Amino acid sequence: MFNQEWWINWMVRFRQRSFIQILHRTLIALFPLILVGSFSWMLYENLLSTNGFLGSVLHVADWLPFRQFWRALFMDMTRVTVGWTAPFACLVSAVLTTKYYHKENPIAGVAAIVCYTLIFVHGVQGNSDVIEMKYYSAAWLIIGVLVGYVVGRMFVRLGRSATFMDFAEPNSAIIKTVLKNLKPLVILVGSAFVLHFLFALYRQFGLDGMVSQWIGSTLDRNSNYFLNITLSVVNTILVWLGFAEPLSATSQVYSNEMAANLGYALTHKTAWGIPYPFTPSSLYTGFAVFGGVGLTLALIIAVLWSSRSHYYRQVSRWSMAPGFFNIGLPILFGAQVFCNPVYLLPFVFLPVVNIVLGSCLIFIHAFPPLVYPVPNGTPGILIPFIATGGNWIAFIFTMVLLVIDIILYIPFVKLVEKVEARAREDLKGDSTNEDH
Amino acid sequence: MKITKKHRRLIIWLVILIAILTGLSYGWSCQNVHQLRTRQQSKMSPVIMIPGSSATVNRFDGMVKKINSMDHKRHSLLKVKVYNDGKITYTGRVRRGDNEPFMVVGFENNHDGYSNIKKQAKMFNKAFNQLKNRYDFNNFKGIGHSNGGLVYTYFLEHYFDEDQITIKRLMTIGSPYNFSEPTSRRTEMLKDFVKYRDNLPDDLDVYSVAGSENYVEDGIVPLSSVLAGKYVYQGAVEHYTQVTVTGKLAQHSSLPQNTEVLDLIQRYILKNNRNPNNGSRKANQKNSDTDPDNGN
Repeated sequence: MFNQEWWINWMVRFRQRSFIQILHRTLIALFPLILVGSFSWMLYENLLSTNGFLGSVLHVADWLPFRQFWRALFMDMTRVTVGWTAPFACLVSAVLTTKYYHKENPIAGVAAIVCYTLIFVHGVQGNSDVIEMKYYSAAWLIIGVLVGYVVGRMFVRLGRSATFMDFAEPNSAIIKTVLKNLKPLVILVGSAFVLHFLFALYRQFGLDGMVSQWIGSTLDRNSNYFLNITLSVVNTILVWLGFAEPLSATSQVYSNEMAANLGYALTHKTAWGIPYPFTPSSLYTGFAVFGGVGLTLALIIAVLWSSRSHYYRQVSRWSMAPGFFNIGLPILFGAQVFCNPVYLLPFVFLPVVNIVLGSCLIFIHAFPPLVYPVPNGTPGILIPFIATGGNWIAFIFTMVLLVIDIILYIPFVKLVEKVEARAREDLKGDSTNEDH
Repeated sequence: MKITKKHRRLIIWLVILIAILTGLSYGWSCQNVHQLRTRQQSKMSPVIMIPGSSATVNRFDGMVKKINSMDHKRHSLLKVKVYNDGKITYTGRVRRGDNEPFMVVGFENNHDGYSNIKKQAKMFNKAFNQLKNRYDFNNFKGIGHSNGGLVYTYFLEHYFDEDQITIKRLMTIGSPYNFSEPTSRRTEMLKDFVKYRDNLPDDLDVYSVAGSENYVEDGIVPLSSVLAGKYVYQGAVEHYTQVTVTGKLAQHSSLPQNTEVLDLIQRYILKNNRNPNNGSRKANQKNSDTDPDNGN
């Protein structure tokens, strides 16, 4: 019933599609930037913020002079690194696309970044902050790569390859090639302008607000356990695709249930008998985000444990520190998890397994429901512990859960290596009649 | 599976890392739950007051004295002064068992103007954070006289963001939301207040008290400027009530001593055991008429 060979071949073929290849190479190219940005993010959000985990447990606000100042500096650093992931991905994927089709063209990279920024920038609302940063963060990664890919393809089709590196030629000849690239540039910026116009209309009529309000009001009734598992699955699939926007939009719902829970627990001095013991946000943040969406901490450890590639292990080692504090971006980039069919299964379903197991144990009263608030960036594996007010059974259970997750991740890490080895063999066999 | 040296090292590292993090968070977690509980069970509901420009922390002395002689609850008075260099000093203290103390927050920089109001709001935020940690209250009431009301507005729109602490009621007394400009020309401050009005807590009751010596002003602030508060609060908070007091002691600086205003404070801001319906009927009867017995 399960034909492994067939699946491996299918995955190899899937990964050889030009878009997927470019996406994965883009991820690799951006890994150093993401890593630096994630460390800076960790410092600013976790250590230097008063509501961050390290900031809270180390009481940083009490002994670090100019904390606000440092925090602002690292916030800037984070903003220009991981905060601008999408345009960077757009640039890299456009350049890679032109190169992929043997028409290397740096102008495509510039055009791509202009197009992407133009679509989402907005000055129509008379708002003082013209750029809404959320469209540029890693949450919109896939859109950035897609725009870059389309721009790259357009330059391949309509433009002329220009490397600017042939110093034997006079400048006038170079200008001639550049002028050949005017046409695709105008067409693309024009199309981006049309999209910008549509997006401006969408915003001008307050549709974005209406949409999020609609989602909020649909969800903001009392929670439904199975609806929420579905929601978590859909969100995780979208993150796997490289689009995390719905995740941030839905993360704040049910805050009223959490507030009611907390109020009850504090007044009665116990977490037993709270009105909404299975409220989805506490279950999700408690059991489904060890190291970020998709249990990336388990993935990091699984790679360290079983990967035969020295470089993947190195990537994992670097991703470990941010991963502990729920910043999963480095490993998602470094191990090319986005749009990687091998990882789809564990990435999406292990969190569900965790949520179900966790709620079962709460149901049989092994430990109290998660009710107390946790600081920002609390390591995922410590959230149940802190949110139960320091319950050791919750802690031990989470450790067991982590081990289970790691064990379940290991076969997939091995499968990835198998798929990669197969792809390499195929390429060797085909190298004689390779064409694009 | 064979456990190699590499695996053993990985396990040791992970165990050490997790142990350190757990140890750190265990202490914090217990302390945090304790603090949350203390705050949740706190019965204290202070009235935090901000004086207007050029006034000091002593601005409300007379007012508190009069209120104490009216309701015999012996509210204590704590004065908090914030210096420009960030130093905060306290005078007076909160009597043990007093659940409704008055806390006055004054500033070394007590000058007029929007830029100063922004600075004062920042300083107020600092003092507020100290007060909440010292006294662990979970709700409070606010009174701002003149520019103090503007500082409160700026604070609520830009700084106040608490999960466990609510501001129940706010009274601004003679607060010039549009400085001395006519309504047709909105100041930058009023524009900003309107722009960020969505940040205001939506379960708040706001009372804006205006004084009027003639038909247009209270001697310092134009009536229209106080009434402009509606553009900020009306619709953005739960209730917004505008009251105009006239007659004796309706002059801008005397407003905190005005018996009518004291009555309003007692009725709307302070905790009441009386039936609120009686109170409001009484208010309607003598809405714009000051008490003739008022000394001072």
